[in-house]
Amino acid sequence: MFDKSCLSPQELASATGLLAVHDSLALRAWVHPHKVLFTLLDDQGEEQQQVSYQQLLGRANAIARQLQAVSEPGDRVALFFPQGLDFIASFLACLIADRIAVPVNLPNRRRVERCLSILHDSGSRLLLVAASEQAMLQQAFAGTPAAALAMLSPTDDCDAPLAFARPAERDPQRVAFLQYTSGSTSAPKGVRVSHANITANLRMMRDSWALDHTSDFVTWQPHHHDMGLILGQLLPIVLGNHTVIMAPATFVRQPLIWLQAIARYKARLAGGPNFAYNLAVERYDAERLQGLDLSHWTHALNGADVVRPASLARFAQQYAEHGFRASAFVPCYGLAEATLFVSGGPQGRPVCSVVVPVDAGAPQELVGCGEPSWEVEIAIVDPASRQRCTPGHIGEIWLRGPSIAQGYWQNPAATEAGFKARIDDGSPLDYLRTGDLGFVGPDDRQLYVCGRLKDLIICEGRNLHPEDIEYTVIEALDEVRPQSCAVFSHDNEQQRQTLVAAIELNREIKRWLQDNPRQLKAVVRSAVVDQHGITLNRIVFVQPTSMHKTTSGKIQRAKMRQLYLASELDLFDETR
Amino acid sequence: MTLVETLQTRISEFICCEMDLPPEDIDLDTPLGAFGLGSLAGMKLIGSLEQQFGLRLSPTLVFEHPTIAELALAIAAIAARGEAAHV
Repeated sequence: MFDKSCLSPQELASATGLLAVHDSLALRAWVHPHKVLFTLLDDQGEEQQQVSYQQLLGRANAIARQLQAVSEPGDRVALFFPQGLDFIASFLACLIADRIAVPVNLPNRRRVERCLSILHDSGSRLLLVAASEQAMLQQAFAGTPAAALAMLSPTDDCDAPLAFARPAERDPQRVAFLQYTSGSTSAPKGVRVSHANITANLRMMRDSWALDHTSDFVTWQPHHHDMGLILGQLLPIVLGNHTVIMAPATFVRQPLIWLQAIARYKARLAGGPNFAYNLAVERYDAERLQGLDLSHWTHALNGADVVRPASLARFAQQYAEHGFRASAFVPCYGLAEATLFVSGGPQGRPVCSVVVPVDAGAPQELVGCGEPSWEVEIAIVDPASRQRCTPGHIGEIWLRGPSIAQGYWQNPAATEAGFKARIDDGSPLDYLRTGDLGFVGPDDRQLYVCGRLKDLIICEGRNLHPEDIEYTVIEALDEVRPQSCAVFSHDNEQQRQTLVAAIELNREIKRWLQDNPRQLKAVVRSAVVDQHGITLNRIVFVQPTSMHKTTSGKIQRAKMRQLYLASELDLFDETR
Repeated sequence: MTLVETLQTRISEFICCEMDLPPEDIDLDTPLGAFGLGSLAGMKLIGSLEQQFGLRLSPTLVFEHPTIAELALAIAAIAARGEAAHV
């Protein structure tokens, strides 16, 4: 197949839809070596660095040789990088060298513990670290088991281009990388994503959204998150497009730079979790955005968090005069256990929505998260009986398909429970249990996601485990020993997420509250933001009789949430 | 209103709105962390102030001057230096 002088567009599309992603890069580096693949913007939106298809391949090959000199195939290599072009070269180097990549968020003051548990769980032997971060990392890991791990910085060398050769035949089911976004801090779970999973998922996105080499992106999502890595940095390689990367911090600080980049590069695809659209509206500035033209933007993705209809409406209204069309919105659904993408699109149609009743309060408008890829089967299953729900009824979302990952790294129990679920109809097929509740619209074929089976809290695209936050609250109040705490979230009238901590009262807490309620709340809020980076919006104090627990003493968060929303909790009024 | 007072008001408003906190929980001399202001929200605050006051600010300011009162003073000083530089 590679004994050719050129490839037709169809051949190129088929090949990149089947090859491992690093082989697709090699193929494209041969077909269009000098096309720019990635442009990195600095925090002012100016071009900082560029890399062509051939240059990225050359760098990845050079780093792969470096890895081959100091490690064995199958070794886990933890990657610590700020947003930039060194990460993707290093990640691809791991794939080329058959090392298992483990992308990790850089530890700041609060994330050291999580890094350590990921390094431990993955059994990483080697840390591949941006030169700029070495000193910081050494300091963060001093005195911990991670201090003993070898640390390597990627070389700046770029191997000279070679004639493109037929890729070595290697088992596509090999693990390519571990995605650590699931699991609580104390028990992180690394999703085992294979080369074949990546290839399938990239093909699914390309085909579902009808993308090609002219579909340029602007992305700011971090590369340690599945959306930033799979969509933002790997899909471009398969498409053969030009992708502009900026740091998440640049986006959060100056979201208008993101919109200006979309306009300037005539990007067709850009997006983020729902909050990205809110931020772009909050910081609208007519003067700075004068002449902004968003009319090329055909794929405004919205995923990794609840898609809120009010956010879409506000954004569409605010940016209509800049050529933004509401039909460009592509709400989508996905999860790391399915590599990334499950459903989204078809693109170019108005967003679908339905109004559903919810347990407590007013009916809620749900946005359709698109139709699934044709390669994915969605089953809506009653989690208790394990039988299929009747069409249009709410059940747990179960998935099958070529991009469903193999399981969790060295965790047979969680893999069995999560990835090997069987529908109670005699079928021998294994399904992935997503833990999300939803249904498929009987008329529009859209996937509607209604909530979580468990109490997981999704906040600005991050998954948070309430037990982690509750632990922090109780630790922070160690002096007055609260018996229990329930953390849950709900949407307020403005469709904004509100995070609530309900803390069990005792005599000492009551005394503190009467004395200085502001101080008590400050202690709790500081600890939670320090450990988890999020704000507890409401802190309430509940009489012990009003704390609902199971017979084994586990807090019943759903029940507490329901009573809280119905104002039926027996609360202590600290303003009295 | 002096620039410091304007800054105090804007920072307080941002915290009230962004953190969705009742105004009575806001205090000029309370550490920002006590309002639940983390690195993400801190970055948003800096960006928002940059935009409102036409300044270039370091994101580390919120850690170096971690109360509303201190932050307002620090930013007012930066603004004054900028003015001087223009003259």
